[in-house]
Amino acid sequence: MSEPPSVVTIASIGLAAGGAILLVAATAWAARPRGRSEKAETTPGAAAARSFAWIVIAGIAYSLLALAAAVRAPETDGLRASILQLLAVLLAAALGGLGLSASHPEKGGGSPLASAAVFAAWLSLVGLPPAVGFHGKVLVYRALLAAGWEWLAVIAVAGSAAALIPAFWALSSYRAGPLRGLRAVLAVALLIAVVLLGLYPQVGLLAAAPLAGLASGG
Amino acid sequence: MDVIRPDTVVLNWLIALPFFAAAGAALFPRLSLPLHSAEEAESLRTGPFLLGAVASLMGLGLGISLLPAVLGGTPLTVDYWWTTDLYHLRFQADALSTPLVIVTCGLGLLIHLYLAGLPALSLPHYRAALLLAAQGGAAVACLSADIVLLFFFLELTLVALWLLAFLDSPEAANGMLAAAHVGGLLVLGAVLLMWQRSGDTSTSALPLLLTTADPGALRTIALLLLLGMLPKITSLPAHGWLPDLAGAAPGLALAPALLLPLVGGTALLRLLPGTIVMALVPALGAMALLLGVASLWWGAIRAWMAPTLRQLAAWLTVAQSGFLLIAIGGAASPTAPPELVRAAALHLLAAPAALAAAWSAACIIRARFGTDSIAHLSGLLRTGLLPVVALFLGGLSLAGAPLLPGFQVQKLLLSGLVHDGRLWFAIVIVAADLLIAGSVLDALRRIGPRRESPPTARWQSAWLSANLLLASGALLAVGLSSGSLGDWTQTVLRSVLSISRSGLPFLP
Repeated sequence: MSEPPSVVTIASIGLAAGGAILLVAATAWAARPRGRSEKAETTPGAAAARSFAWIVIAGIAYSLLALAAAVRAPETDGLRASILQLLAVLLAAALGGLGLSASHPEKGGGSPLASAAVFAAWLSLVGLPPAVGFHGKVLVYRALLAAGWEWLAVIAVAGSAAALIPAFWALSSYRAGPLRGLRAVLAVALLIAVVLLGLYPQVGLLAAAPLAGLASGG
Repeated sequence: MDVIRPDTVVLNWLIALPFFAAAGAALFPRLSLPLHSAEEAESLRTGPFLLGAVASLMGLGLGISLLPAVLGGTPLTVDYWWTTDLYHLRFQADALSTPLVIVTCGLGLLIHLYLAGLPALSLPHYRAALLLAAQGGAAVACLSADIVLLFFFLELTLVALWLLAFLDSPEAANGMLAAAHVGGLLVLGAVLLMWQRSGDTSTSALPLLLTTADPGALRTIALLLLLGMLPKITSLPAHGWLPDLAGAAPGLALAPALLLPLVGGTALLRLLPGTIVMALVPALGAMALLLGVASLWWGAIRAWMAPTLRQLAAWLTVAQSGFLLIAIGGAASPTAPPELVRAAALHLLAAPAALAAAWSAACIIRARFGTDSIAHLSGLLRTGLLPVVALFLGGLSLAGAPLLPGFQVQKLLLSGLVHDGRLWFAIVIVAADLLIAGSVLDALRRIGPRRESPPTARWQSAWLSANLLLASGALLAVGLSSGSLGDWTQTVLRSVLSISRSGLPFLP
């Protein structure tokens, strides 16, 4: 007679399933085609912000997947991957939020800083270098493979590819408005953080290590 | 020799400083406004591109200065922790990577000169900085001796090229990023599997992987690598982004068309023949061969039908990817002679040189005469001799004409295939060569001297002429040094790509 599944197994499978469902649903929602009536009612800036928000949620789902891998097999480094991915998502959300708050529908104007903020945020969320999101996603995939969840890794990679659809749509329709004062300073600081953590991931991993230690009771 | 020369680092930062300053000035225009009037800013428009050309020239000089040591068997290696327990910063300037860095810097120089010669380009600082980032990413990817690092810089090059193309044509740029990034995710899958199986990310650990991993896992890795690299080397069926880009804004495709196939081919050669493909059962080699023949023929046929010179260059690029895949696929055979791997290595030098001449000519004709439609360029030879010569040399080199670099590649490729008993493949390649040569000569015949008046040039720029002279000169110089190239491929085969087959029990 086989042994009943342990709480750890159930928790890891539950987390993994929840993360996968959230990932697929959020990415699909971000990339869904817009209806004619909705197009007429929504400004391009608001629609781009909504796609961005759904991809941020998909990014959090990646963090959940890594957490599930860590619960299933603590030696997989999944906890650190989960925290680094969460850090990358939070930075990208703050940066993209600042850039998108400056968007405006009319022609003319345009702020290079706001454009750079939105582009860098999307790069990080899609998982492209030189943004910190690249390392977050690579470590999440690695943790999933190490936990023996190859098919989950395939879903996660497919989610990354699918995230390009809303990214292209949002970036092509986005028009940057001016960013001034404290918001400009904050955007510069976040932009530097996203790129610096991408070029030198040790800082992000150092920040993630104590949190991972605390979470695992180490 | 584990050294980073401090003077090189300082020099590199000094080169980079004007770009940081330029980026700062563009981000904060109020700070730069008191420094320049609008007229002054316009007169300084070519400045960023010329700075980029100087930086490329310095990289070229640095690469050439390293050649005697690395070809003499003393590779320059750097190995630092990128993170304390995950990634390494491993670089190796060896017999393969150093010449490829020289090619990358040479291509960068040509593209910077081309952009400097174009009038009224918006955002010159961004373009120059992004081009330098792409060029730097490609050079570092060539130098990477670590699979994660190689992937990082491969994708970084792609992102920089995407941002550059996005400035002029977002749709075509997105097509390029989508194709190449999806391929990149497949490559990432292979990289992670290699990391998992070998426990190390160093490229030097890959031969060890062969002896410890099971053949099924190796096949998966090789398949992911091969399929993932197809968009980057513009091979069938993932080539569509390049003709799309070639049909977009003038000159937009020059940087992606030259840099991406070079860096993709380098990564493919680094990761496949020396480590995986040569050790696998011939099934994967046969797949590469078939894809290669299909790309070669599809590219050659479409080049024959191309209505514009940029489309001609785009389809010639697709065709040249076929030669690389045929060489790599042929080398997978257990009885393959070393000529095939040597042909693949030489192709990485010869094809970018030929494509640079062909693409530069097509883009410059489009920029100078307002059209590159072959039907509307009758009589061009009388007013635009230099671009026509560059197109002629580039196109015929790709077709393997004697005295040009492509001839050496074809010689090695055909001799390797014939020695391996694949005579039919050799015949198929020669027929495709004839078709490519025919399509180039037919295009030249149609734009040659006619009775009607030649098209009028919109403007003339010394930078565009410099680009064409350099591209044609480099092609001829490489073509005339066939003996040195043959020696180089021998060195590469012995020192970089030779992996012993002993100790691999599953090999046929």
